[in-house]
Amino acid sequence: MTHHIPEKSFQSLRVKCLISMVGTILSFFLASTPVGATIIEGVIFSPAGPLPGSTISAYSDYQSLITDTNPIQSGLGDKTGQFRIDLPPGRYYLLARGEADGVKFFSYHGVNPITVLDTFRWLPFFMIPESPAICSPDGQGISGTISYKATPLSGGVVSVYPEHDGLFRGMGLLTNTLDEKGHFRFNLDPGSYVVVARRKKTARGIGPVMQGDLFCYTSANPIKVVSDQLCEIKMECYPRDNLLSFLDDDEANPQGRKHETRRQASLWDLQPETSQQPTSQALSTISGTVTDLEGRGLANIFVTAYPSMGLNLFQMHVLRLISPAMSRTDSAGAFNIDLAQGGRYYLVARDKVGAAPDRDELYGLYEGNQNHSVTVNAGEHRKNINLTVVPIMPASGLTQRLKE
Amino acid sequence: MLIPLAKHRQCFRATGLFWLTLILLFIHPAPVLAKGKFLKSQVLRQDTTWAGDITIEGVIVVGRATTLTISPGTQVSFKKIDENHDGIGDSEIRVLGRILAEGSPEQMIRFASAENSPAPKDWSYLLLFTSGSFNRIRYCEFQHGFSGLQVQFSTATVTDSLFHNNHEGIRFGRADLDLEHNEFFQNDVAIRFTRMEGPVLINYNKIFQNRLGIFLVPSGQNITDFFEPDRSGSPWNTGRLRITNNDLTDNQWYNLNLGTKQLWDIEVSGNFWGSTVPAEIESTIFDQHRDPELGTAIIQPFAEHSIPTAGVRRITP
Repeated sequence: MTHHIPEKSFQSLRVKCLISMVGTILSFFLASTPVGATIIEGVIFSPAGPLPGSTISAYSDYQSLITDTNPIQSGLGDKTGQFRIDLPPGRYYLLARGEADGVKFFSYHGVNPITVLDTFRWLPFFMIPESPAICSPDGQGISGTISYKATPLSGGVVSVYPEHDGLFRGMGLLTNTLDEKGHFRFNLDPGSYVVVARRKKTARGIGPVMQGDLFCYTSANPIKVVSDQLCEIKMECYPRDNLLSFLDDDEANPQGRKHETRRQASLWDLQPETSQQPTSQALSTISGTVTDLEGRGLANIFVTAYPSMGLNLFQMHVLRLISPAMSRTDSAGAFNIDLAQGGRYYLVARDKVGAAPDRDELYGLYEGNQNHSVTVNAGEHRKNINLTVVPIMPASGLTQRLKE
Repeated sequence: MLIPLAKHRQCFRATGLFWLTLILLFIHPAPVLAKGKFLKSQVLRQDTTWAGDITIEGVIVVGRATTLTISPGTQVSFKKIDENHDGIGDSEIRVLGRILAEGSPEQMIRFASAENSPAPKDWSYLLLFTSGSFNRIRYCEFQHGFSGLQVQFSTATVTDSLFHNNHEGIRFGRADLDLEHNEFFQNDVAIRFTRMEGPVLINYNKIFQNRLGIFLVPSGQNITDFFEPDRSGSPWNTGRLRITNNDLTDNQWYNLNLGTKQLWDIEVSGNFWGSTVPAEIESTIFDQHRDPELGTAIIQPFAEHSIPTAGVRRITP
């Protein structure tokens, strides 16, 4: 016997079924990632290990960060101390906050602002105790001491930037080397400033913070300097991507990578802070090689593309500016710079970044034309852009003459 | 027809010589000789020698692997073009490789404006920028430039040359620079030093009738403590910058001017300042005597007479 379903009931059933399917699909998406959002996961450590209950806040700009305005908050991750945050593509300042034994901790990520595109990213945060600035009528400016694990950051470099800078890279307004006590002092006009310190593992100027380098940022930032007030800060550092160095000696390594497939994503953090943008979304690319005069490829040379900013003529002062478009040559001397937009760029290859050219440093400008510039259209890949570097400013013996 | 063996050998030798010459030419290309030329913007990628009259309209870059040699008696003239409308002529020579501009007392090399009514700033400068070589400027005459010569992150010897009717005679920042036996006059600023480093020697020069003689001013790039003097109590320029045996006279505003944030004392003994009265000498120097924030120019002991050997040597040393 065959049961017949009335046509009207059948239509009703089809509608219900459709609604159910759509609902299932929607609930799946709603329960996972908002449409167009990228998953950022990671772990938040204090020197004692993962810091449970800590959160990450993502801000659209530095001003929002310091006023705690409209942050996107993270949720809990899979394991203790882990977090997950879904962010629409864009640039964000990420700040971690937490507390343990009544002590407030924070971490300002050294690669801020972070560009979030469509690629999963894993970010570790290393927490340090919050510490306020204490101001007194003992001058005018900012002074302080900088340490890492209670040891003065001797030989580190501390820079002060105006608050509106927003990037806090390069040499800023003033840069000092730290003495053996990790102490510094800046005499400043009244204003609002951000202090950042770094110590490189290798003596390669004050360039991007690389793995193992120390990065230091105080919760007192930005610091307001007023007339006849000297603000004293105590700043602690954390190592870029060196968890074992950061943890106290008696802590086990709780590194919580979930899946083998995510290891590649986690390696984003091993890139220099200025070359964090995944290539998949880059609109334009310049690639080529850096060689010596004999045509041998040179490894580990920084190549920077400076936007021409409408200047038709090469001018030296352009090279004093900070450009996020930077790459480093591989073992064969090859480089690849991804650019957020097309345009004309001045190209420089050199040993160091962030400081003025120095004696015996390998240095070279692009010599394809008298303006040292390359024009790249949106979406275009300009290849075979080659630069030659030589050690500059050879010693003439004058130093010795002046000492006599 | 049989060719005698000797002729065969001759023919063989001649052919071999021809090919050898051809190969050598490719391995060692002969320097390009430009004699009496009009040059537009370009990068020189091959060793080049200039002689006669050279007129430049634009920017000539001397590439990293290139030496530009300028023969005695050469006249290099710069056309005034001002693409960016900043009031400064854009034409310049930018040396990344090496320049050897060595004239003689009788045949100086001249760098000047090509305009009918020449004026300071008609052209930019001869710029040595991040050069990896030893550069020599000798018996040259610079006029009508923004700066006659700029030495930035480079090594150079500049001797027996004239700098006049420029906005600035010479400007340098981080440099290894030997500046001796030159004459600076009728510039707005004769010598402008923008970085407190060195090594720089300013010796046996005549610096007169400029608005400012020597102007020491920090770079606007970044004021760091990298160049702060050691804590020994010595003037900051000890072992870095020596200014001595010069005639520094008759400059309209100041013979020596310490710029903003020149907080440290500078030792400038052994120069002739046009007077033997300390108060009169001090009146020609802008230092702590006029601005308490600045360092002091230490002039004692000063020369009591004009330095007889200062200025361009009329006989080639």
